[in-house]
Amino acid sequence: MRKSEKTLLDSVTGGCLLHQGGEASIYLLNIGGASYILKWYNDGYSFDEDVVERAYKVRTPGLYHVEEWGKRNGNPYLIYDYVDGFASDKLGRIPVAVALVALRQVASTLSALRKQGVSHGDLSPANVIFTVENARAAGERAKVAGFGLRSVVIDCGIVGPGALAYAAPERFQGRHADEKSDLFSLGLLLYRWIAGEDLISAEGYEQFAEQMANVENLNVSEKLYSTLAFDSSEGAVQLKALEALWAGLLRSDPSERVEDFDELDEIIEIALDKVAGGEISLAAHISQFLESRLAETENPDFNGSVTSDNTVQKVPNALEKGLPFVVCKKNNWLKWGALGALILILILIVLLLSSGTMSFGIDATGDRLLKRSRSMEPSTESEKTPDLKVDSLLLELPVPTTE
Amino acid sequence: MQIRDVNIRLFSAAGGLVAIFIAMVLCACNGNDMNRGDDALRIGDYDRAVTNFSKVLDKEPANRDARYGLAIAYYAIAEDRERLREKTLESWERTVREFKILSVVDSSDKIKPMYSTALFYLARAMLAENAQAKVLPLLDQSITLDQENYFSYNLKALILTSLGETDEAKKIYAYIVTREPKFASAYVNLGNLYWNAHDYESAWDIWSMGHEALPQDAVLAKWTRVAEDSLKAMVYSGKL
Repeated sequence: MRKSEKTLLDSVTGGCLLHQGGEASIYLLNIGGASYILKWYNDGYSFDEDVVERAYKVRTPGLYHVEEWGKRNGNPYLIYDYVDGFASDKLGRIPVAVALVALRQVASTLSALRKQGVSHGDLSPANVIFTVENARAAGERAKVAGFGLRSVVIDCGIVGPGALAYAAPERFQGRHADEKSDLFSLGLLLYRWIAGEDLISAEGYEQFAEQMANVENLNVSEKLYSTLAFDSSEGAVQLKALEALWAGLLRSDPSERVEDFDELDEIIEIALDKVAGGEISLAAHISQFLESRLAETENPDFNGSVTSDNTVQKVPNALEKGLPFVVCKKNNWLKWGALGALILILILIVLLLSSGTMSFGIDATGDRLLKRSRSMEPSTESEKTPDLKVDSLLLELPVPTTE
Repeated sequence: MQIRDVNIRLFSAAGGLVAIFIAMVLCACNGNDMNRGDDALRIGDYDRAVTNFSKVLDKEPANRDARYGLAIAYYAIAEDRERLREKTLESWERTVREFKILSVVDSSDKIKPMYSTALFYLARAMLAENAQAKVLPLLDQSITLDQENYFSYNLKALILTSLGETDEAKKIYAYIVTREPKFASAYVNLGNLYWNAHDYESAWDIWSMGHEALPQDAVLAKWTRVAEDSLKAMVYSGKL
């Protein structure tokens, strides 16, 4: 767990449930006015702490930032930054050019993770967020990388095969995630983005395992063609351009897949050249995609689907019932404010007292009185004492007679 | 559970601060009494000063400034009575008692001169009530407290004289006029000692020395002149 005196979980001032899944529940949290996502794992589920710790060191715009992880009351949890965008599983069919740009970004992020020895292991459309807001205010970096589109990968480090519809065949055999398994998942992810549906549909673990092991038997281009989205000369070009990707990614034998993310990047670049027809055209494709999605966010009724986890949400400033953890009350700042004011008052009183009790006048008055009494005394004594005695002595003295 | 803990901690902190606040308010009240006492003392309203300093001491008996203020107020009241020639024994007893307590609270040298003077006054007041009163210990204490309190030396020498210890008294007077040449009483009393012993020349020497040091002192001027005249008369009569 990230070491800190006070955890983010202790500083939550508002929160609400976004999504309740079999593996974990997702909450949107308000921590000090900023938005965070809490992934609260259900009983029996957890994350690979080693993976999370290493992923924490990867700082790339394409990867979510895990801010805190640990256990609370025995439950594993993760807190990561809120990505203001769309979960790609809610976007329906995505233009091929846009999907390829997104795939390239995700591959780049996975490559950076790989350098830390981390494989994602749970790639799925739900775990890739397309950001819109950042794209609108795009800086030069975003423009260069994706022409305003940024794809952010979330949720790495899962224990288990991950989303079954995107898991590599070897993952069903209990092998850990690696670069090759992530590459396989990327192939399925790309298909989902382009087709708007999963390549492999099955019921249950065994069926998924079997179909993944026989993925070569599927003619992906034919399946895409059957969606009627590619029934044009342009569609034919796109299907042709994508074939190298299916051939390099959707292979049941890991050794037959592309070597690594770098090789994949080259293949994507070639496909993009064929599909997009140059940078200007590509930029136009992406811009059009972002504009259309932007319109969807301004219209909440659009498809009724763009309102799930990690989509644009209002940050809750109050706690809702059902949060699985105990947090500070929302108005703690009021208490601290009151305490601060009290301390301020006390300081003022102390200052007041300091001026009131530091009485230098007492000593000065004492000195003045002492001086007065000592200057008064000689005349009193000199008048009194010799008067009697000297006078009485004089009586015994002879009195001059001649004067 | 955590919320409860946080609340308990917060309330404990708030409770502590409130307690400090109350203490500070009490201190503030004391501070006001102090200021009132000080003001009263400064303008000569000694009875009111006694009242206010006493209020502070009721809450903080070891408050040095309040104790000193109260002692000074008693001192001033007693001294005012001295000027009015009233009986002052009780007043000085009260003053000395207050200084005695003060000396426990404040061991610095700051209060010693006034404490010493109060003891001198007390000794004198005791003698005024009873000429046989044993006041030498008081005067010794007074001198110990303030080596420059020549009034106490002077009174001690007078008492020694009355006890027949004239040599010791002469030494004390000589010490006084050596250390404080402007102390008229010492000249007068020392000259008186010589005169009493029929050493008129020495008496004249001392008084004239005092007259020279304090030409404005009427008593010394008078007795210097009387001594001169007496000496002349003795010369004329052949006794000298």
